[in-house]
Amino acid sequence: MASSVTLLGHAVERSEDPPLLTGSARFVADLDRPGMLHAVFVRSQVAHGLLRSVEVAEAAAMPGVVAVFTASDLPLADLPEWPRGEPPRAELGRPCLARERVRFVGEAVAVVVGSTLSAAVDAAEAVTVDIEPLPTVLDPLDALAERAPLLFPEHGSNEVLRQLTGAAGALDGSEVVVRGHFYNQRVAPCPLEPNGAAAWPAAGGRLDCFASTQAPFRLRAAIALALGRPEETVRVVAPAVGGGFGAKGGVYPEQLVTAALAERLGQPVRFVETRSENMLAMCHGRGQVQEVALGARRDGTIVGLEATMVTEMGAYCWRGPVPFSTSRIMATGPYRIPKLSLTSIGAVTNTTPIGPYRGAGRPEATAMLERMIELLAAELDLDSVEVRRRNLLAPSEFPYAAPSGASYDSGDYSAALAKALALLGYEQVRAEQADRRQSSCATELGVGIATFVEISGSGSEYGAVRVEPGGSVVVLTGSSPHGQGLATTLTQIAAGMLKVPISTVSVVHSDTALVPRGVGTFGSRSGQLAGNAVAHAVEEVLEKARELAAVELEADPDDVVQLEDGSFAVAGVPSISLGLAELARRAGGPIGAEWDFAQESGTYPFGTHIAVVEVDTETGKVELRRLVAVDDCGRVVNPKIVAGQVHGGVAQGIAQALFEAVRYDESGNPLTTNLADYAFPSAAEMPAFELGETETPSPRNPLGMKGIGESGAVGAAAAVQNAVVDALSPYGVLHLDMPADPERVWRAVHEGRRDGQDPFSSSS
Amino acid sequence: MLVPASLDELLASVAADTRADLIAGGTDLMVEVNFGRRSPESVISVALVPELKSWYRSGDEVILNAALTYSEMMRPPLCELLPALAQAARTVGSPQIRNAGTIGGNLATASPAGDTLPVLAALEATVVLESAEGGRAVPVGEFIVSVKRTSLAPGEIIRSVRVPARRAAQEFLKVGTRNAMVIAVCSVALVADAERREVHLGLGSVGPVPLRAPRAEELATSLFDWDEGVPRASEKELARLAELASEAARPIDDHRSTARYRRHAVGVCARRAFERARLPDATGRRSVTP
Amino acid sequence: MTGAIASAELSYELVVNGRHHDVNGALAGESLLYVLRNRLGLPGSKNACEQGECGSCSVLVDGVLVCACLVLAATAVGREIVTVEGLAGPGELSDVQEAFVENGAVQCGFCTPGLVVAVHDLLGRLPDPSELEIREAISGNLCRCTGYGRILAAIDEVRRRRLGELP
Repeated sequence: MASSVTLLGHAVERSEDPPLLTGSARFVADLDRPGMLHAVFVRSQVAHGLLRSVEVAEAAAMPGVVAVFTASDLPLADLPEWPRGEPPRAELGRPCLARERVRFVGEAVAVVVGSTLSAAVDAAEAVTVDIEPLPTVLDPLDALAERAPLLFPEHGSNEVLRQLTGAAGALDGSEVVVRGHFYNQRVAPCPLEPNGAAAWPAAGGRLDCFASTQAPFRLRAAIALALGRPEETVRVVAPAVGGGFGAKGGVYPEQLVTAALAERLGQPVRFVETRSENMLAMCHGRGQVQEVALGARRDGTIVGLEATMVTEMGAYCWRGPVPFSTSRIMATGPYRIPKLSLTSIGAVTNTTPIGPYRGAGRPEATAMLERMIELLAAELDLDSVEVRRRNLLAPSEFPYAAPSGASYDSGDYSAALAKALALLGYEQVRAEQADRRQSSCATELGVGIATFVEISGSGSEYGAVRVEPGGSVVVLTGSSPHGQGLATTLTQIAAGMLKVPISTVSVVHSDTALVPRGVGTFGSRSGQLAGNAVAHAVEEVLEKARELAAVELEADPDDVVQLEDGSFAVAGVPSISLGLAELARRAGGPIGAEWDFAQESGTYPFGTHIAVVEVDTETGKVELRRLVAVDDCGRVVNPKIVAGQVHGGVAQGIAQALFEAVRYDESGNPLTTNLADYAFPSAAEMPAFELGETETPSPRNPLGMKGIGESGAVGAAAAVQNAVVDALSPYGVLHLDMPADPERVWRAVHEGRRDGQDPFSSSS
Repeated sequence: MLVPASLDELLASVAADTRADLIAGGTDLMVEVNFGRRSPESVISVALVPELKSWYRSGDEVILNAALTYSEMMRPPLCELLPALAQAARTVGSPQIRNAGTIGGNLATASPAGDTLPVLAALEATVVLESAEGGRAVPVGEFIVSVKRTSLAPGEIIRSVRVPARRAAQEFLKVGTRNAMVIAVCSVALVADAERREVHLGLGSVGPVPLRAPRAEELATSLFDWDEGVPRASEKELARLAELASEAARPIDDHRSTARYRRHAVGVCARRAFERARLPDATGRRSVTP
Repeated sequence: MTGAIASAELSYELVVNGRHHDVNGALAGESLLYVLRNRLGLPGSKNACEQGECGSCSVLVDGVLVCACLVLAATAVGREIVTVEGLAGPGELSDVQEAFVENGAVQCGFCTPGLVVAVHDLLGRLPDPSELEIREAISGNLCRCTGYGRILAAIDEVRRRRLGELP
């Protein structure tokens, strides 16, 4: 296949960009419709309490108000639980509008529909919600304690998930054991576009729904289920979507309610979150407490890992199982860890529900391991690079069955490490660090490494290709890109393999009325799954074309070849050839094929990221000086798009390491509800990233691709965290939880501890 | 909703509707309105009042009119006359915010984290207030009375701010979590006035109002070499200066930081501001700060 | 825009991208962003924070870069407003927009319109900015997708083109 795919590997410009650049692209908030009504949600301002009453009469009577609904007026099924296929646990259900009890600040309690947005906003303030406050529990460890306030009394515990992996005795035979207690903090995804949805009744009894979503087919199924309609009577469209990072992959109460309102009222309804609402209602990411012990021999060879990972679920066991499960699967990372004893627990607390956010469990597992490698190196007085080298899986060990049950496809982890060290100039930086430590300078230098492997591209995806008699090529994908440039990637694959100009190819996606089936874009899956589905469909189209050409050229199909210009001819007779469009015309219609590409065990991208920081030990301010990222995502279709994904992921990893944390007060009131209080980095905080790559194709798909959407966030956070700790090591600091904000760093300098514990506030 | 086109019109409007909110750059008021925290009965915009724009020199003073924007504070020659104010302005928000936000707005909002306020405190600025009845001048320390509260009377507007334009070393330092667009965890403004031979320190975000640090100022004044225009202090004296500045702080715990850290960091900033201070020569040229 | 200043309805005229627009029945507390998006049919300026932190709604008012969410619309009467829709002719891209395409500076595109306006403003004021000046100039335009690197590359390319250093 490789020789025919001439366009693969080129930095083709994105076809998606012009409408986005000129402001003509339409996001949910830009959709208008005559008679559009506006929905505004009334949200709980109490973190935990019994819902006594919701008084709506005053609001309903206000001018411009069309209707007000509570859970009892708008009965909808609970949100689908993840993972699918497991029997739903009714007592843990997440309602669309709260019933009987509220469990976090921001939970939707009622919805007001107005003929204008301001009428709905004013009326929402007039809805009186009477809540009898209950004791709150915010910390996942507190939630698991005896006599903790229960969010679901019928369930009898705040522990909603528990899974054991491996067997006891993982540390047996160790000559040295290092221990850590880490908190991977809760962060907010903050896509620039908040959530939003619009819906209206369409012809033929169909309900048309528009949502800022990563997975329109999943949303269609949920809307059909909630409204008790056949799926064919629901159309879901993801218009331009302003970023998702996993957080828009799930189904939200507000989306189902908006659809229900349009159905009930028979009119167009739109709901758009404000940023303040987004910070409460959109899932948060991370939020994992880790109690870890790593056993090794004196030469640095790892013997086994024993760990407990407590993943916060927030108020509902809704999408939190994604990071819960992924951190479990990736618990031993790129290392040869023969024995694993892992307890994974999911705990509910009175906070915004947790969900997948770029990395979704992978950054948690990676940070845990990379911190442990550093602690082990410190304990054995070895360079941590050496400890990594001794334990990284070798290329000959693939496919590798990890103790978690994961099956790694391919890799050369040491090569990525070596390349990153070379790009950095590791020895020089260490020499500079030694000089700095000799001087009396208050600004310390730190180097941090993270070597990682992650999982991408599980499941299946739909793809179709159609060559029209007019010469245009239509590609259909079941994925739902929202910034990744997938349409361009698929165009390259189709145009390259068909040998037609890029300008003839158009990609249809994100509309369940135009694409027969699909899954969506999350988990670094779309390039490889949609890409291979399209590639397979193209192969079928080429085969059909060859057969058609054989008939037209009166030759045996085996003698027909595709020429460099894309046309078909009998081998050795290039002067008489037929183009694809011509073949379609002669066939009397388009030449098309479709394919569902499945890859159940996924692929395993990997890399090494290295950070260099300077730490002002007097103020605690950390400056990131350099960030080297060597990533391996198998075969690269478009290097510009791949680099863009790495840049974005790295930026979010840095952001977690240095800047971001969702905070609550002791009553469960959120303190980070806008972009001033939740300050994610601007261009002024980022250095220029130094990228490198290795290319180890995956044997699990014909194009040899792996995902690249999340690697950046997986490696960079741990690298920066390690760099900060490294800078502070002269002060006896062995560990520091993220984010390394000035105060936390300053306190570490002054209260440096040698026992591997964060000097303060380990989990809140 | 009124948009007066002259100072007289503005004063008449304010006198006629003393409950109206004044809006200049909108960087504070519009946030409140957008977030539904405030629904003012009426609003008077100062955007088109020419008398409130720009700045000028008057004797040994600089008069900063109330609608002077942060961006304007950063431009020469004003940034050379008042470098600490320019440095503070540079740390305010983004270019968009600096283009809109004004010194009058910063004063009227009187947030403990208002970035220009410690500079105005260190400069011992005077706030000039005006109403239809007449005007009065109030020292900045009396103008801001507590958190987000000022001594502005009904019917009064902030007309301008008067600051000395004497030969002085000026520094501004701020600690926050981001480099750009960050709300101060603490800030320090230093003015070493060559004519009065006094060092003044203004501390921001470490009290309900911008604070001065009299004991630290006294020490700094004694440690400054006024003839050479540079600080002369031993490590021990610098540490003492930081300690005295910290002692002057009255910080609180909030979600951005703890009082303990703020107290420490404000001392570090004071010490560093002092170490960096260099008097300009008679022509106004400054030696390079290390 | 969620709140509003309780007051009578207003009618006024705004000049946006060189065109006169009548605004009728507006509320006094409406931001310029709200009026552009909801009354004038110009949704290119985006709403992502409502407090001037993200820059997605950046526009030029009398040539000055501001966040439209913090401008009281009625105070923009008689001033020249330029939005992303006014940077290039219909169906055309400005040099900045072209450089964004060429350098892979766009991902989800939600911050992009405001960013493009900010870059036009920067290079109009400062034809040869340093990297630090560029970073500072766009620090009010938050982007969650790109990590800013490709955006910086795009800006640098426009800078060099305009200075004649590139063809």
